[in-house]
Amino acid sequence: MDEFYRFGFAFLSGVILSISGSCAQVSLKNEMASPSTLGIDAIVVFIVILASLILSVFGVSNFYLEISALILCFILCALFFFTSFKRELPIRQLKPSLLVLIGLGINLLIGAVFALIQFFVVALNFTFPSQIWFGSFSSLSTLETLLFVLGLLSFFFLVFKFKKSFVLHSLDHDLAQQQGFRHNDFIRHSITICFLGTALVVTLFGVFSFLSLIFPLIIRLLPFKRGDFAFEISGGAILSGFLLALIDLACYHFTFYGVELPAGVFASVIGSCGLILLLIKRYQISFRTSYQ
Amino acid sequence: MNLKRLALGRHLKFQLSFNVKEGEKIWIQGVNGIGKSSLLEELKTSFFEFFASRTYSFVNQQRLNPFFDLTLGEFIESVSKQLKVPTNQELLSQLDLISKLSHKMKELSGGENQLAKIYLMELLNGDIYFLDEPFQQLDTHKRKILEEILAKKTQKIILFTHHDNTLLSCFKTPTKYLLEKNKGLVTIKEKING
Repeated sequence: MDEFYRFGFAFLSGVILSISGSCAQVSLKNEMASPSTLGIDAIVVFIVILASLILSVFGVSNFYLEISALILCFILCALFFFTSFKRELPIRQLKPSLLVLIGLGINLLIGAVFALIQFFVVALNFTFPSQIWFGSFSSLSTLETLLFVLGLLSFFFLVFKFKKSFVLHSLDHDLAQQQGFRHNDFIRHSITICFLGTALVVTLFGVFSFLSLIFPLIIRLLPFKRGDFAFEISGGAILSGFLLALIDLACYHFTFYGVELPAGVFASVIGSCGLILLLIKRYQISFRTSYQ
Repeated sequence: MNLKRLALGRHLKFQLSFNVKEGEKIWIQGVNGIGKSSLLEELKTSFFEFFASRTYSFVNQQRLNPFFDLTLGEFIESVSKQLKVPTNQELLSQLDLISKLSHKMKELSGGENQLAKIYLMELLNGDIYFLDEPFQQLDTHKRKILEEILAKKTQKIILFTHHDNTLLSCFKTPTKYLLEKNKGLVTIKEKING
């Protein structure tokens, strides 16, 4: 039964990560954008560390860490979603490459902060959520499952409510604006979806770096339904879900001296290699174009 | 509509009372780089705020930029599918776009891209039009076609920028706003009718 739940959580996490990545890439019109490269993963990790410190200060058991971190993320998500920006955001002036560099910088910063806090916390004999850095799937408590289901329903509600806006923005930002989908709302919805999806996966199962970057790229390699964003966030996301569930299943069954390799480690290696290949491909294209 | 204050960038600051009537054509004039497009963008944002229920059509100076690597045909098909409007084959043929349908969007020339935007403008058929230099990169024949299309829009509100001072034949009596630079500050000259 445990294996069944584990497969289900891995599948749903794959679906969430894939949709989050697709939304980030369409919003910035850049294939390098994803919750990992934009630093959203790192921000959620920081919230988990913050929750851990708060619980330690108040002497509350770390059993409630995932729940308190997830609730904190839900609150931040709701605050951001209901904030309205008065002025129209200059969507065309956003520089995706710069945002990705800033995001990677945030990842490095949070990584360094993580290591520093871990050093002090371990020295002071407090517990530290080091397991979060590499994700793996395990069974959840009843309260965690309830929060996961609540978050999942909110996530799918937002995705399907704003599906048309995403599809039109994938065609052209101005086209979407002419149909009444304002840039401000689009960016706000996109960030909310990415943050909520990442928060659900990272707080409960840990970080699966770069999977949200790679899954949409894998879907686009499929010979059918190319250039169809609606398929990417439905059928494509389901395929990604199965892929992550299979990776996790492999990690579960093939142990190393009885120790299970976290699926997050495996995913991080594949994902970061994918990012490097993507950057090399981009460089080759721009190099060729400049000499034509 | 009364825009109390518009501040564009660092150099363009002015007060503008802006009243628009149904069917009015508004021509924003000025030399290159003075901020006509910025003013049009600012007005667009204000229109969204004041007339949220109205529908809009734009032609601006940006290229059509689909995220996926689509051909013009795939792009037009996707737009028609999403907006639930049939493809206008007659207009496509009038704009000489039929032969370009198999071309990748990224490979379209500036003029072809402009024609694709004019096609979308017609397909969307909004209540209010924002046209930023709509005739740019068009040859004489295509320019004439666009003028004919615009001439038929007597009931629509059209705001447009056009660098050429010669009056366009498609709009008989547009309301003109002239942007001028005065001591480093851009001001709007009183509106001139006709």
